[in-house]
Amino acid sequence: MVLIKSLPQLVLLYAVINKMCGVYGLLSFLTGHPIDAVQWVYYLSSTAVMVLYIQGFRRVQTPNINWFSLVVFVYLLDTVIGFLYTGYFSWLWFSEHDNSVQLTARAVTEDLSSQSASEAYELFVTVALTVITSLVRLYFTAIMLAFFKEMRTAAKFDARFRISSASASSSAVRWLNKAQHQSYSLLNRIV
Amino acid sequence: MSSISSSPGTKIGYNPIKLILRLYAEFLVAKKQNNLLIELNHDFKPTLKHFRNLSRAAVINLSIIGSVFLFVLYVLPISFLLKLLLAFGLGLLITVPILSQFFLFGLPILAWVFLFFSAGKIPTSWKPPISVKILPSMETILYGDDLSDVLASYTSKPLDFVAWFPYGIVHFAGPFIVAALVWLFGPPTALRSFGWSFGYMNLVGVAIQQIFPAAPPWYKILYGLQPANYAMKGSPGGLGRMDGYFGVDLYTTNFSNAPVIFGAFPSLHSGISTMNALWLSYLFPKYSPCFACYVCWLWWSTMYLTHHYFFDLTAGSVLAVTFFFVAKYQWLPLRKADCFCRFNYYRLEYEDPLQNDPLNYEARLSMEDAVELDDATSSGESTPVDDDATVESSLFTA
Repeated sequence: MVLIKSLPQLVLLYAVINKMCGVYGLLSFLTGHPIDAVQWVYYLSSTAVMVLYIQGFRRVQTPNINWFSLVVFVYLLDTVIGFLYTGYFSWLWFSEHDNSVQLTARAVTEDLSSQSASEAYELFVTVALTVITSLVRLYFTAIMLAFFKEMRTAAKFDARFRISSASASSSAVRWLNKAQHQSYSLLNRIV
Repeated sequence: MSSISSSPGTKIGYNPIKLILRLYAEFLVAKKQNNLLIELNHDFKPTLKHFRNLSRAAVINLSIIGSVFLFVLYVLPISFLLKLLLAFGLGLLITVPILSQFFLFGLPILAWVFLFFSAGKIPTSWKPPISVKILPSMETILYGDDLSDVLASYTSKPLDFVAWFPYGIVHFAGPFIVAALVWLFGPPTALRSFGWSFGYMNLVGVAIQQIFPAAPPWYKILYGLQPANYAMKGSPGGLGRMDGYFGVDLYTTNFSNAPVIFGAFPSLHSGISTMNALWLSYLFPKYSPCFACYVCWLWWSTMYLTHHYFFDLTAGSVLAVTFFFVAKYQWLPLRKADCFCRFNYYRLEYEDPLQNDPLNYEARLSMEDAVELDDATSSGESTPVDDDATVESSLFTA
């Protein structure tokens, strides 16, 4: 019986694991591996988003709506933009790797060729995996939105789930609070 | 009540001798108070008693493991007599009480070890074709670049050592240490959940590696994207450099003749380190950032040593997280912050997702009612740890 509380916890942990790619991508700065502007933006944003998800994950046992409207909204945004990135990176990969070269290599080793995957099989699995991960991502987004919705319902009984404004001391806190309010009102328009 | 058990929350340092003495003292106190939870079964006479009235989950569990063992026995190229002996040995492990109390719950781990070491003996004609391009393409499509390539593109001797330590040393010793810690510092029966989650994660991982054989990054470096076949030898990747430094053949021979060569996906190095980190965080939540850092460190070494693509690492960790949380919500007793070790637990309490759901207002209301009821009826039965939490959580006692 894993219920609404445990699922966002898992979804956020999976998201943190995947967003770790940002940190490792940024390490290319040290190893001198060339990456383009889109990749820079992708890795920087992944790292930032990962930090936010870690904050969400730490608070998931005792959630409050301020943090979670921000987390859920970023998750939604991340899904949408993530699809664009997936499209771009697929194009990047398939334009770089010309298939004709491998076909001749395959013809040489005829006797053992049954043990290696055919070009069509590899392409099929790649596309299938991409589609499956995208669907899982959509499902996870639905879970996060449902969590937000549940929270809004719970707000009728529990003050913890009502959006609050910080009596802001520092500008960072004020800015964070503003972002939380923004995402709250945007999410309210969607779900 | 002795002074030790009345203050189980007192801080103690990391002096191993003090730790052992404290554990022994707690053990003696628990013995004196006749704590049945920590009793071990010392019986040698084989019995099938624990197989009576099995739950449906237990039957499914045993059937899965049983079929793995049957498959392994079928595949292993040894004489029939040896196979019978092996089966007999397994039978003893799960029927002799003094052994079965541990091994019954360690069966998934045993099944994994058996499957892993017999994987090389599976007839080649049964094996699916090896893919060489799927993983690098998934890495780029999902994570934007050949991350494993990025990290392996610069190597140096000091970095080799930094990468070798978690990959070649901690990885092999870690699970034993974690298991011992779970047994000592977790609540009684926690080790069962560890065995289940750890074993099944690896079992499923190795099964995926067999069904979906894929070449690791070192293959791409050695052969490019050429087609692979099962006659090919494995490679130690970057670990080969360590053999050069030490002048001892630690990894080259082992990795060249490894039972699973095209088992890049999912990475069980990643899975095992994540599992260790999750269990250690359960035991010592204060240090969970350190355990997470260890996982990141190991991730880096696997890519630096050209053993895995980033996609394999995330898949391994996702497997670990999934099995850990299933075990946590199904069987794992709650760890109490004021209990020092297993000898301090006099009753087990379990996570109740419905009652603990922070958004479920009705459940929380009914729970508050129930606590008052419970307070009135069972307050006479006090425990050594008598605070409010115990009374409240006694509701969940199985």
